Parts: sequence; C-alpha cells; structure tokens
Amino acid sequence: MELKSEYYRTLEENLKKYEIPADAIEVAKESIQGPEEALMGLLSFLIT
Amino acid sequence: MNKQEISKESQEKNQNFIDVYEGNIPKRIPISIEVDGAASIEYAGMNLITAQYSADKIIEAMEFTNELFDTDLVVGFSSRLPSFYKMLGAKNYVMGGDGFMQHPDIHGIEPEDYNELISDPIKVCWEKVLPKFYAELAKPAPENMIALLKMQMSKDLIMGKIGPASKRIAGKYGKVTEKFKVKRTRAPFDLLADTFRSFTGISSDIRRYPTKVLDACEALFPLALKLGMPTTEPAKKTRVGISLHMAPYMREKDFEKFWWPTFKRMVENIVDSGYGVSMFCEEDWMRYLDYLYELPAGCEMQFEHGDPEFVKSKLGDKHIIQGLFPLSLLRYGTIPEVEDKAKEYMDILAPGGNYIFGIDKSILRASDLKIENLQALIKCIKEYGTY
Repeated sequence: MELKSEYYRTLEENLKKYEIPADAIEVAKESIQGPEEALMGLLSFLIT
Repeated sequence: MNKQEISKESQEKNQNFIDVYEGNIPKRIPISIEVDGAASIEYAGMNLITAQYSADKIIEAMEFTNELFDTDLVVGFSSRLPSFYKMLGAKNYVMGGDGFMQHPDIHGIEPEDYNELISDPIKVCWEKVLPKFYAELAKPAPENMIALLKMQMSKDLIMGKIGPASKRIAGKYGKVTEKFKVKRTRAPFDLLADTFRSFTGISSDIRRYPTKVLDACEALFPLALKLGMPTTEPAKKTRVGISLHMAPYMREKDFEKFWWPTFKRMVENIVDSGYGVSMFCEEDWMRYLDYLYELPAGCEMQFEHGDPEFVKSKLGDKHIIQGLFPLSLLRYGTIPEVEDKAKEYMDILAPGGNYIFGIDKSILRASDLKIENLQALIKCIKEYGTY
C-alpha cells in the first residue's frame, strides 16, 4: 500500500518537485530520496 | 567488517541466531539478553544524571558492562538519551530525579482531530503531535527549525561514536557482530493509542467513536508498515522489532475487531517482503496464543508472562519463542536456583529448535539483578544449552 501525505513524497514526486532532469534519475536517487526516507526515520523516533 | 576479520567466537554467535531465524537447529541456544544504557552506566559506577550526556562516558560504561557480562549481544546502550529530548523541550520523554528517562502517558491529538488523522496521519504528526510533544517545535520558525537541527546534529554526533564503538566491543569480546534488528515499528492500533490518543483516550474512543478508531487504524497501517519495512536485501535474519502494548488490556472482542486485523496484515506484508518479525508481547498474552499462531511462520515472540509448557505446545512448531525467564529470580534468587530454573526452561523450550533464551523483562537498572546471578545464568546457558 502506497504512503500518501502532503509531507512525504515518492521519488517520482521529488524528481518533479526539484526539476531533476530525466537522465539524472539513477544518480539522484540516493541524494534526493535518501533524506526523504531518513526524515521518516526521524519522525518515527520522535513520535514513538 | 568482512568475515575474515570476525573472530570465530563472533561468527559462531552470529550463526546461532541465523540458524534459528532460518528455521534450523543452532549449535547452541542463542542468548537474547540485553542490558539498558542506564543499567550499564550504573554498573560502571557512574552518575546516571550526568553520564548520559556524554558519548565517551556511555562507551566507557558499555566497555565495562560487556566485559562484566558474557552476553551474546553487545549490551548497554539506549537511544533515548536526554540531550535529544532536552533540546526539543520534550514532554513525552523526561528525566526523572534519579536520571532515568521516564515516558509520561500524554496524547498527541483530541477526538475532534480524528478526521484529519484519517485523511493524512503524517501531516497530523508534523502539525499537531510534534508541537504538542516538544515545546521547541511549537515555536515559530526559525526557532523550531534550529531546535530540530540541533537535536539531529547531537544524535549524529553521539551515534557517530557509539556505532564504531559497538563494533569494536563486539570484536573485542567475541559477541554478535551482525545487526539483526534493523527497523522498529508499532501495531497500528498501538500507534494510535500510544502516540495519538493515550491509554485512557483510546479506551474511551473504542466505545464512543468505534468507526473513527477503525478508520484511523486503516489510515495508520501504511505509515506503521513504512516505518518498519527494511530497505536492505530481504533475509529472514533481518528482523523488524515490534513492541506490542494494548492488546492484553482489551476485551477479546475489541482486540479481534480493533487491534488484530491491521497488525496481522502488517506482519504478513513484512514477511511476504522477505524479512522476519521479532515482537515483544508485553504483559499476559496467553489468551491470544491462537491468534499469534496464525501469523506467518518464524515470528520471534518474546513473552513477559506465561507457562513455558503451554507456550511451547501452542506455538513451538511454528514460531520462535523467547523470554519468559523471570528477571525477579535474578534479583532475589540464589545461583543454584537460577541455574535450576534456566535448565527447566531450556528442557521445555529448546527441543526441536525455535528457541532463543530471553528474560521476561528488560534489565533497566543495575538494581534489577545480582551481578553474579546473571553471570551464572549466561554460563549455564552456554554449557547446558547446546544441541
């Protein structure tokens, strides 16, 4: 089940938001989506 | 650390856990006894009120405690450190007068917020729960941003020292070097209760707003799953830790309706993705063993209360049993009593595998046990617990 939130974006949504060129998708995965996922980890720590 | 650099002793301990997690009989019963960071600092003779602010002091205490107890796992660290919470003005984790971190029962939202929670739980966390739990995050920007950044930097600083130190300690004392529990999450209902509505709030909500509670559990399901889902290569030895809370305090018909469905689905999703689940069943779960049996095979279940023979007969052919050994005996018993009881538990629970030795409660404080009793227990398991 996909996670939907105003404050969580998938890789595709982030690439669009930050206007990452299509040919940079593979190399941008870690630097763009990594912090999004890390933020979920921080949220988990703070709410539990 | 590659395999050539890991000592034979560590490799054997790693393998005992891997064997159990993969459904094989290990050479020896693995020991999952952990010692909290607070107890570790106290064993090392340090001041709990001050030492928790220093990574160097925590590491010094870990070194002491890991030498003191020949546990399989590296012990003596707690991630709930006061510096993180002080910087945020936390109300959900506060230091008690003796330095121990307390977790008051506070709630993140009111009943009128259910619709927003159901619509977007993450948004509610950032906009309502965090400002309520943390005074600094309720302040306007940039104060809230600065507070959060400082907390994260403190966390990075401390963990940047603790991580390498844990590996060094594992190597030095021949302990487990693999990280099995890589993620933690909560049952959706427990997340709703413990983070959003509190124990008393949820107990009232299931009577007054049952549909909202059910919808909220469904809305929290993808979040709870996301929080727990590992991102590493799938493997049964890669475990997701889940501490189970509310079920023993509920009537069975409420448990069946509100608690169980989203939890079961979450565990099934994690296991279907190739990972294992390790749960701590707080309080008395004996009336729910038939439900637990339904979960996908190979779940590790640490029990606080229960008769080992009953648990073994109900779950032993499908799930990994852990826990049950009474911590109180380590505090009040004698060495022969501890050894006799440990052998009794191993005789019941070890045959056929699917068993990891564990105790019924966490070792939180140094006063929770006599040092010589835990030392004797570990020695006894290592000698008696071979297959």
